[in-house]
Amino acid sequence: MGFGGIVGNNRWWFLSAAVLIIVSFAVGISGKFQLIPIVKIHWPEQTTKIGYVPSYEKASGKELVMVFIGSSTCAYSNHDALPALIEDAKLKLRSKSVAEGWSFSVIGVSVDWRTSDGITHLSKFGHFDEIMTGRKWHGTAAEFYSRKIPGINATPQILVFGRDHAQNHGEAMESAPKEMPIHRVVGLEHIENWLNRGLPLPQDALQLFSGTDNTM
Amino acid sequence: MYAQMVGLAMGKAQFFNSSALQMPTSSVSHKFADIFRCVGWCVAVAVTTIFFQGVGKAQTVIHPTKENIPVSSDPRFELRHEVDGADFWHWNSSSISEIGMNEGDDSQMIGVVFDLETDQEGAVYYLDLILEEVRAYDYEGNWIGNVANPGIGPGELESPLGLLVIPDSNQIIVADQLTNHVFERNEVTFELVSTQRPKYPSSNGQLCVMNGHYYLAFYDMSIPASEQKIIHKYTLDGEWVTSFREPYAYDNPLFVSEFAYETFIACNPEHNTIAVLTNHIPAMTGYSDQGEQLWQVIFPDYRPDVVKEYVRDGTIYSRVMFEVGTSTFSRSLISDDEYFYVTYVFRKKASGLFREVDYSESHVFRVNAHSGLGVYLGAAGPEIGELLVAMDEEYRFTVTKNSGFPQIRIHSFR
Repeated sequence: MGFGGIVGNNRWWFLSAAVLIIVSFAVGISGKFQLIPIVKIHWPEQTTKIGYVPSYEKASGKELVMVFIGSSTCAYSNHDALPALIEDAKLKLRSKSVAEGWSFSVIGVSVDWRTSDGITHLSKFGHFDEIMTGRKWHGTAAEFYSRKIPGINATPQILVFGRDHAQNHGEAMESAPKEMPIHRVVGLEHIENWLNRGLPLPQDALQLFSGTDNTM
Repeated sequence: MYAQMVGLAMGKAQFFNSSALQMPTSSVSHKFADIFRCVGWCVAVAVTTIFFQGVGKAQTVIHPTKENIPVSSDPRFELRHEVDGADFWHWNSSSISEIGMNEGDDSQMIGVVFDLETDQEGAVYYLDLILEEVRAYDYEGNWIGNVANPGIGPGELESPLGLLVIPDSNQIIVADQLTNHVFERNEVTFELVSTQRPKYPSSNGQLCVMNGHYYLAFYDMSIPASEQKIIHKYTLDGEWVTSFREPYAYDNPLFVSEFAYETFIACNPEHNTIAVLTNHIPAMTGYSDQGEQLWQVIFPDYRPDVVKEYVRDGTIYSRVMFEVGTSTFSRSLISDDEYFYVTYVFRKKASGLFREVDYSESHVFRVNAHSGLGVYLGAAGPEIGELLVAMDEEYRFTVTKNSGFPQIRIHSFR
């Protein structure tokens, strides 16, 4: 039996298969049903950019501190573009700090219940001088950076504050250094905008922190 | 039924598969035929699956539902923006003062303007959502002082939602988490007068005041929608007086609550009228101070950004679609003199890394608070992306990020 014979005996099968294939094709092309998984292939990025590296030195004098507050459960904190922005912010703020003659450090905070989730989340954002996580918004860091230094409970967030280690010299018992809030940026879009603008910081707050404020 | 059909189809496929394996090797044509049958059945299974998944997706509900969209019975109360009008606003102001700069003193750097009011006497107050502060400036853009700052102490703001300036009293009410703080201005300082715990606290920061009472929007998800109203009237001392306005008509409280949250109000003391509109619904309703409906205006050219209700893993979710070409009221209902001013703005594709949509052209309407009759005024700002947020006779107050950072602009038409 030739090919024509095969077709002739099973023409309804051919016809129904053809119709179904055409319908499936049309449905697929229309994009009406997003049922086909999208497979993306990524090659490892070859990057030579050196990220932020902590100084691993004892802090002294004035220090500018950047706090990054993220969360493994926050969709915005898990945006693919955020780690690069945070790294950029660390490096640029460090440059600003060095230009003022201050030391610099970065604290990573992940607002999570499980510490392992928080650590995994923060590991996407390069190096930190310190990290803190656990107990969600009731954790020590989240509590401190949203209540003691009052501000909005939202992620992702960058808080910049000044810390003066020198003010305790001469005291018998070393107390915690005074922390002075300088600036707060919240939300992906606002963090990106702040970076694009060159990380502006309030001038009066910086002058007050540096001790050059003439209004005092 | 779906499972049965898929099961049946799969059974058939197996049958043909097994029969294909048992075929005598001599009969090549039969083997081909069986292969084609198998292919046919596989495709049938795939199509059946697609079809029934599609049927499953049909559970998706698009909000606002039809019964929640008012229809007009009188063309005089239909306000369209696709018209040429003699009443068009011009934006050639005699001067513009700006609040907000890229880098300057703290008082000149703005986070996010969430609410803005004027006292009609030369001071403008705004609530910064990021900094959790309420700041006061004069009409030249000079900082007067902070009304309230973030914190957990008395009069400090934990999670501020909105603000209200009480005319002729130097008092400012700031809606915070479950409370309303009342501050009094004394030259350049602000003192906490009292903290009220309203029976129905503001849920979205929308407040307005007229003739010795203030009004706010609140919806309690724990109470059936049929047993409650969403606009609540209080004395200035915080005593509840009455409630009115039916909530969004739907049986799932999540969606009733979402629509209540997007309900905006403005008070017109001249005509003792309160205007209410809900985002996604192209209508504005005027009520008397007792809650009687006075008029209703429809916006036929408004293109609602729909809220999608869908089920995933047995849980109901809602999602505002924020699609290009849709419009939003965007907290832009205000009152001045004897009118209400309402703005809607369309969305366009954004160019930023994180935003998918951005504001494009805006349209502002003026509606007489007494009659409900209105006119189209044109754009709600001199630039795309600049939106009207308050008015005081010859001054118009807009917000924008067109300079690359947030700004409040005060346009003077004196």
